[in-house]
Amino acid sequence: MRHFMRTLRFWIPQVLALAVSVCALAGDVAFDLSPLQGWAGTPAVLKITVRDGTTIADPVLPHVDGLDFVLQSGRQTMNSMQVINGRVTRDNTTVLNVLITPRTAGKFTIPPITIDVDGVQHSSGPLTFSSLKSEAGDLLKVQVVTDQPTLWEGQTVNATLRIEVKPYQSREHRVTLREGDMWQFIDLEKCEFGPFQPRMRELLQSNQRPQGREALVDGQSMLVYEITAPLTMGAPGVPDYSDVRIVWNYPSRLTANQDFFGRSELSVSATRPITADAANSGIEVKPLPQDGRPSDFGGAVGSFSVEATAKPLAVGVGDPITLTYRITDTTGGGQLDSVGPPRLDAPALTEDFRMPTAPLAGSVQGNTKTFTQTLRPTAESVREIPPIAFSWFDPETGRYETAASKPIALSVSAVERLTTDAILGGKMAPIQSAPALVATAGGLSANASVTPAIVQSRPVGALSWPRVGAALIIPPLACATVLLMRRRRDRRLGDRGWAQEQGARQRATARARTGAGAEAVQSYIADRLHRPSGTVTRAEASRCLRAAGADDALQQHVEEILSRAERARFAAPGAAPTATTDDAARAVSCIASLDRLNWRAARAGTGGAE
Amino acid sequence: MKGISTVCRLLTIIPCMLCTGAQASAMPHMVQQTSISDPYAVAVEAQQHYDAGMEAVATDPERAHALFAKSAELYQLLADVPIANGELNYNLGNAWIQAGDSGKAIAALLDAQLLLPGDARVAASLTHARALVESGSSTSHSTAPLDRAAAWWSWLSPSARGFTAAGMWTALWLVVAYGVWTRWNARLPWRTVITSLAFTAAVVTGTCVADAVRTTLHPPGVITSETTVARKGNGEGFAPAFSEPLKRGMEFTLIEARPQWVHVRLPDGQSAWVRSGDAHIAGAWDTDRTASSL
Repeated sequence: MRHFMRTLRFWIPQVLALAVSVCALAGDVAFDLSPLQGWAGTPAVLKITVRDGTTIADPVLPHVDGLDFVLQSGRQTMNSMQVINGRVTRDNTTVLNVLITPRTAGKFTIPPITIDVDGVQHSSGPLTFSSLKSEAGDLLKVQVVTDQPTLWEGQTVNATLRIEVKPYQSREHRVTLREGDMWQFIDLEKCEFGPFQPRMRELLQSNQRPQGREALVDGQSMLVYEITAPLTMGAPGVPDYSDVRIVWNYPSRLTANQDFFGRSELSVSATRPITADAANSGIEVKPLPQDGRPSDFGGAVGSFSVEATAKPLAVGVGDPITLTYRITDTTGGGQLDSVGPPRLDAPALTEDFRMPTAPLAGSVQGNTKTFTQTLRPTAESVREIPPIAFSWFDPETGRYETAASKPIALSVSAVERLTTDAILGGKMAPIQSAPALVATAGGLSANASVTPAIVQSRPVGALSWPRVGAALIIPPLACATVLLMRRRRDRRLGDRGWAQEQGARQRATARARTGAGAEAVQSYIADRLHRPSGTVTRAEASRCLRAAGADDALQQHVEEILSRAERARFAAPGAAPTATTDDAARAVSCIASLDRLNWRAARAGTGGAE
Repeated sequence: MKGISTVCRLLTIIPCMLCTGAQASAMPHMVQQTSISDPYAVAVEAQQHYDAGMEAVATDPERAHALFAKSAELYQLLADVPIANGELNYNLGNAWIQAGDSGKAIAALLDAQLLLPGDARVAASLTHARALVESGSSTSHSTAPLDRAAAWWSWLSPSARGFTAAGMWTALWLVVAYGVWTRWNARLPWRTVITSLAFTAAVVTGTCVADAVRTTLHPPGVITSETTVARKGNGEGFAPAFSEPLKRGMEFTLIEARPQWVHVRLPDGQSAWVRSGDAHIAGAWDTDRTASSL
């Protein structure tokens, strides 16, 4: 017995020590919920802190009516080591966060939340949590307004989402937040803008916001923010804008802090969420009238114009024609999504054309919606695409309107029709898809043709002497020719004497051969002296010839020709000697001799034009 | 005056280009005259053998081989006259390919390429012949700067470059002529246009000159004998340059030619001496060409 007691005394402390150490190894778990009182829709955080836990399972979350539990992904882990007097202490801390969101106001009791740490279950014990409903009251109002209180079903108008929020005033600090500061507290993540969402997205993407202005509303100073967007009215009655909800984290407390430089600055230290649903500001939607509704009315409301084009205009029977039908919103509203296609089942169209029966889908670009359809003429007699009507309800006049496109002239030609028998009876060649030919690489080609030329040596390559020479010489020669022609032309225009001298011999020779030898010689001398034709006398001619270096024989020869001509000119009628072939030959010979003289000296000697 | 001075400046280019033409179009000069009374008849007979070989190649390969060899020998007779004709060498190359002698085939086709630059048939046959070479990489890839530069413009055939240069040259003078005629008064960027045309013509002509210089100074060649011992000098007394003999079809570029021996640069950049009888230098009918490489 004594031995047993001694053994027991020995083992009990050991077992207790072991149990304590196991508990220590299993880790220390703390549960902390904050805040214990919150706002409906605003989550509270349950922080689960585990110390020295190795294997930590996810907490088992209870189900409580009115509360949503969400375990935040990711765990915070902190490791630390302390050495005090040579004793090492290690600390391993893991934090898990559970978001508990009250859906409604009330007091909630959360049953124990259990977590498994290293195989040991840890419970939080019951937690009590209460939430309050945040009343917007007169702090926040939201309404949708339009210019006209009464609208037609399907009518598109520019509607305005009007957000009125009371600027926060701190009596303690005597501060009123301005519109820019107040806008910072809108909770855009929780807001629902409904039909104004696209416009709001545009503003946010361009880093803009609705501009606020201060206005008196029911005697109170309010900040008004407005978002305008086109809105198409739905079913008749009072439109429902319950999908528009604005959530504002309204400031509830300001705190004075000191910045880095010791200056006092105010900051919002507490907010409470307030929510407001959009209210209707008296908009009423009327149904479209039944009276006068066209049979082809497809629900379009507004004011439109229509236009139709087709391509190609010359086709064979059965060939496709692409018909393009454009509906343009003449009011410029551009809300064409709800505009349906024109009716293409009119007998005038279906009798002459075949077309797919699938509904048309239009594409909107700017203020125009475009529909395309493929028509196939059924007969050669088809001459046009008839007018295609489109009807709409005009909210301005309160009546239905109809417009039609202009007829489009067509040229339809007959095409050969193959009967089924002809095809099945084998009269038509079977259609086979031609295989694509793929060139093979490599291999030898045929030898060059054996002609006498193959046994003759040829210059190397394409660069043979004649080709190279021609290619090199001809272009500059042509250029030089152009240059000379240019210079000659310039001189002819600028130097009349030179121009007169050019071709003098040819002209004189030709004239001499016609029998006018003396005139030819005289005109030649005048040309060479740069004198007008017929102005050179016999005496002048003699003087010039001497100056030009003519010998006596040539001078005598010229004198004889000129004197003979003079005699003939002044002789009695019928007594004048007639020109003979010898005279012409002598004149030509004389001109040839004159052409060899130094006429530059002659011009210098007689003071002729140089 | 402006027109005249421009024309004069441009005229100074002509002698340079004439030099180009002179280099590129050196007329072939016969090295060794062999008399054949009727070369055309020989060519016809050679082609008849070739055609007969093609007929027999599917049914009687041995006979076809003999016919191709006979055809090649006849064509070779003509080529050795020498007759510098690209089509003749093309046929000769094809005949040697069919006869199974890739070395002589490449030799003939290298000649054909010189005579018919840019000809697609010759290029295809040359590629085919090179593929038959045992080493499979007989194509010369010279490391010389000029050869490396030639790789940039070789995508355009020499004849195309020649026509381009001629076109640019003609266009240049047409522009000058127009400028002279209009007294340079037309609103055109004369300086830019003329400079561009002259530059393009000069560059393209330069490539033709470079090609001519390249093939003249270092013409391509090929080993035609079965095996050739390359040596370190121009004589049998010199030690072999490599542990292995050079094989038929291996291409090279000529560095230097001495009696009975040629100094060649191989595709891998190494050089050695081989007996001239064991090798064929492209354009061997042209003594100017071979002389310039001496």
